[in-house]
Amino acid sequence: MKLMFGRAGLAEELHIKATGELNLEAGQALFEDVKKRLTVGGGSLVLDLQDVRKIDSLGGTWILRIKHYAASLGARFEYRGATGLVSEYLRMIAPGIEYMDKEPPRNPGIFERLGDTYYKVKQECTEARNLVIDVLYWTFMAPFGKKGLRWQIVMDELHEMGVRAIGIVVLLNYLLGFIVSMLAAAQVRNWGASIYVADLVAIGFARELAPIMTSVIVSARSGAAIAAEMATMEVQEEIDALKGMGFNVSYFLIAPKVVAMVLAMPCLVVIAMAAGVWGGLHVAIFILGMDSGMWIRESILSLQIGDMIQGLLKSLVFAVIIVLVGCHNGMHVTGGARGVGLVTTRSVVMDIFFIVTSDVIFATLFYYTF
Amino acid sequence: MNEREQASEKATPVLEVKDLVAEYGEMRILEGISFSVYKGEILVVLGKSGCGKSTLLRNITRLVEPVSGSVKYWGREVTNLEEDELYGILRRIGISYQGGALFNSMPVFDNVALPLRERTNLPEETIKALVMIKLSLVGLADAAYYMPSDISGGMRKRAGVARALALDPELLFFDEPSAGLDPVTASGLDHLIIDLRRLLGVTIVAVTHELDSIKTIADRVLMLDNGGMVFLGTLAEALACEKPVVKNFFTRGEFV
Repeated sequence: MKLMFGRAGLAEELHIKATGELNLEAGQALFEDVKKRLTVGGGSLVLDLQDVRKIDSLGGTWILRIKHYAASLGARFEYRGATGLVSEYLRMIAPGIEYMDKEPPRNPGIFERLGDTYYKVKQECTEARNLVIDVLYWTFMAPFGKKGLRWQIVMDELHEMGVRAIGIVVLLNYLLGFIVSMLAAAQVRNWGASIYVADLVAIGFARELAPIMTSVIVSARSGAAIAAEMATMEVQEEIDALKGMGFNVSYFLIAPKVVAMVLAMPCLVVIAMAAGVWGGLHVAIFILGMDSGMWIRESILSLQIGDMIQGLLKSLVFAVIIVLVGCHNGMHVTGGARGVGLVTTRSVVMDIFFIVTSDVIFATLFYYTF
Repeated sequence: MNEREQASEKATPVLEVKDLVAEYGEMRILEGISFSVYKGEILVVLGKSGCGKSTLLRNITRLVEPVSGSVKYWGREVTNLEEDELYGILRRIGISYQGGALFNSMPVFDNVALPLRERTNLPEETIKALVMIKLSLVGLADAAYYMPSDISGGMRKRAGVARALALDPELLFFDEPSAGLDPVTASGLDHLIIDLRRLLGVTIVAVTHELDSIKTIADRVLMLDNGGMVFLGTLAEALACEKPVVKNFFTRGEFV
């Protein structure tokens, strides 16, 4: 590659002639010389490519950079004389030269973001309300309809959400029962009141710990799975296909999940209560040296039916929350694989938020009623 | 490079496949596949849906390991090659996937810039210019900052081609380049393939069953059927071939 420079025509026109092969090295040399010779406010730069017989991508990048540099100095840039394949190549990359200076869209300002968030939240609330109404209608009405509820799907979901969750629910609630018993025992044993730890564990698990702990486990397990499943179906247009065939998504997909979860959750909570008490029992036997019969008798005597009802009632609401939040988020996915990950995370976070929030409402309600 | 080396490089196939056997699970998909691709030519692998075209592509690009057989790039065997050495060869190869295979979390610009940022030490300004050139080549310079989810299927496909071109590959693989596109966009993509070969001297292997594309782009065709090769030759030979399975394919099933 040979470079020839000269000022031709008008005094302010810098004329540069390139020859041979325009590649990375030759392009860089050309650029360096343009930088040396082109002065601020210089009129125009003409690149003569008549004798360039070959150009590659990296050579092309230098043309773009020379154009960019000329523009930064306020000089007009043009290339001339390219022939054959070089000319065709330059014609193909010409839009790149045009769009090279285009900046990525700027990030919205704080007020734009606030406004955007407001409208998004408003729209999401409306959609969530519609989903709740639709799902509740179909959950209660479907069994009475012509086709009935899709019981086979309910059974499959029941197995997936309920039966397969028993192991982890038992393990974590047992360990929690163990921990709570030890913490409580450490506080009360100096007063000889260790037996009341049984009351604390039994009532605590029946009213609060078992429903909350089980809901969090189910949310992380099944809630995330529901969101990911619905999101993937949305991305792969399966939900559109269902709608296109005239199926109601709430009836076809969501109602069986709600029914399965509403059946599974109270059962899991009862199992969790037993596991928690069992964990406490082992502390009583092996650490506090108490008689197991005495512990069990104390637990049963302390428990009232209202405590159990409180826990089970909550679990029903938590079950509905987990399914609806998962489905709502899943169906609003955007952006493919990353979007699926984001809605799954969002779904679990929202589950936990709504579970705890509704638990506060329950706690307040039960405080004044029971 | 002296004249002898240049002649030797020209004579050495860019890609040489011998007795390739591929399986999917327990099922044998391909058997006894042998062919060569030479510098600057466009070989089209064709056949009915499910005949193993994409499986062949996945095996020769080492996305999956062939059960047996040999795959050589520029005379170098790549089966059982160490990862580092394999990457050295893959660096010279570009693959354009059926749906574009763009990363949805980043704009089109960053998708194309990714291999340049990760596999070269070029300054960001040069990378920006290179990305704009590649996007211009596929007619997407004005869509650089769109997210993949905001562009059409055809545009995603073309953006995938731009990414495949990012490192100036010497060999390009296309998986169903024009499938599912409208005739105008499909024809545009076919002409892009021809332009890439003509302007950049790229060797191309395209897997497709689109008859119009085959007739537009192919120098030679390799036809697969029932897990084996049924034809390998020039496009003219394929069009004149009297084998029922080949004739049937090119007459859109009118020949029985």
